[in-house]
Amino acid sequence: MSPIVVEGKSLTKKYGDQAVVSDVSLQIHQGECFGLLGPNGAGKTSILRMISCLSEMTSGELFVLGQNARKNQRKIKSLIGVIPQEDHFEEEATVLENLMLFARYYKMDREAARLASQDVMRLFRLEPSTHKEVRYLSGGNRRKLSFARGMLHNPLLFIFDEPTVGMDSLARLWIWDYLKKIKREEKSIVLTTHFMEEAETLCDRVAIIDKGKILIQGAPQELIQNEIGKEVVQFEVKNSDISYYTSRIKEKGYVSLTLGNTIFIHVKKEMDSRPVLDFISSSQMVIRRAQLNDVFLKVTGHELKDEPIPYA
Amino acid sequence: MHNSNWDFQSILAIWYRNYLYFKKHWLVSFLWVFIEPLFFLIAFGYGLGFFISNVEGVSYFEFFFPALLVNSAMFVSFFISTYDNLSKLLFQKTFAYQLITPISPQEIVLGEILWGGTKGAFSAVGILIVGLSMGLVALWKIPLILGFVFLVSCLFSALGFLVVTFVKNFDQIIYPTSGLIIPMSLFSGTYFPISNYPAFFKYFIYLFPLTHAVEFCRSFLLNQYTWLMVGNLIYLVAALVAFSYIAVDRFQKLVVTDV
Repeated sequence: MSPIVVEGKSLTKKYGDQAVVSDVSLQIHQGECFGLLGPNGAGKTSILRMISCLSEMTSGELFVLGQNARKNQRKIKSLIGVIPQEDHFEEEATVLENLMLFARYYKMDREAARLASQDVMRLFRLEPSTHKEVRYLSGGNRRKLSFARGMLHNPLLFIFDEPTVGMDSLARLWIWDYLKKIKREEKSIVLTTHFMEEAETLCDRVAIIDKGKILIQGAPQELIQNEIGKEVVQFEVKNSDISYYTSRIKEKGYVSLTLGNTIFIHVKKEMDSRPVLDFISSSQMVIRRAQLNDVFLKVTGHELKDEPIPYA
Repeated sequence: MHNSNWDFQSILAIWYRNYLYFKKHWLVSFLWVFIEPLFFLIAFGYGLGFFISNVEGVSYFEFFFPALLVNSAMFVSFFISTYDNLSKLLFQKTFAYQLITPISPQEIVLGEILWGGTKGAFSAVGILIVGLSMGLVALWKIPLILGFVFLVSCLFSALGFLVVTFVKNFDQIIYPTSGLIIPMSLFSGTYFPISNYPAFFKYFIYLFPLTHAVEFCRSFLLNQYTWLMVGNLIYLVAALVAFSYIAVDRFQKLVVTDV
């Protein structure tokens, strides 16, 4: 097993009496991409802020790259690269000035800073904007600069908060590619996302978080296999028919989940979906591959939205 | 968190960030810090001075000039420190992104205090040029007086940062401005000697750091050297240390503990 880069034990963060993160334990290994999944307000960003030493934990223990997060914040910060959700720059300074200033915060000497700035500008194709003031950059280039800045000091662990939010699908693919490249270099990634597809594609392991707690964690395919199965039969029914269907499904030995007027039937690996199809009379029926989203629905009992949807 | 966690290189990096902006617009700043005190000198020197033949044995120009120097430094550094830093905290999110890096909250506060001090001292350059041309200050005194103005500016810059850790928006800056900075400017011996006050009020006035700054600067420029100047200096340094300490402590709680 590769060495552990992040080890959190019973992490808790409280504001007054309210716990936004409670009793979260996680281990992240070198070369791994670890995803924190959950709705807005679930506590994902709070966990990232603790790992980044930007927020003090109320209780628990946290070691990042072998350093105690309660004592060695400065050391940790020098070894990690944080790319926050919102980009803030020196707007009236140029791209190069921004990078050079950032390098100064990391105490890189001038020559090393210049070389590193050139490297990251080349990597993110920002060279044509070298002497452009940041306020004149396009949205896409701003985002790129944010990534470039985050890796200027060659960090060992990358922390991304919603790396692809608000991006078009092409830019998203580009970022995914970039994250895979980081992984190939045996560097580690922690990211938050609420795109299940992103988590399935990129993450070696994920933790599903809701209301400040980790509900389940593991490799995406493993979670899907164990919690759901191979396929999901999904269909909509009238309110009055729900109990009829759920009892029929149970009779046949299937597990199902009902959210609003939608019934999800989980088809295990060794089972066949045909027997259930016989008795379903719904025009909006789909049979599809089981996804991480199904795991999410199962463990949280609600869809990936801000507010839980009450059971029908 | 972050106990006594600072080094000079990081503090300078914070200072440098401000310098990066300043060097783009320095001429505009310089013109204003040059012209504004000139207005004051004309209004009070020629205007008020016309009716006053001497104050404590010197002309009104000579009496007013040292006070103008430290007052201007106070206003410049206090306003730079409050408005600029509140903007960095609330809107530009400068501190938020600096804290991602190994820069500690202490270093941010100390770097910003140092920057406010620099801007205050810079504002004195214009006044000193005017003073030099009017024979109000000897050339050899200029480096020393700049050093002193820098100290005073750091002090009010620290006070300004302290204000930033209390206020929630720009409007609230008016409270310490009208409640402390303006009265300090009016009562600390800027326009008339504090010997005019009744004894009780005089002691109260000595609580104001500006009183000590005016007194020191005036004694130094008018060649009235006394041991009291050492007291003035000690008081100013102590106030600087105290304001900086509390500002660091409060800022740290504000950004790191985030409760």
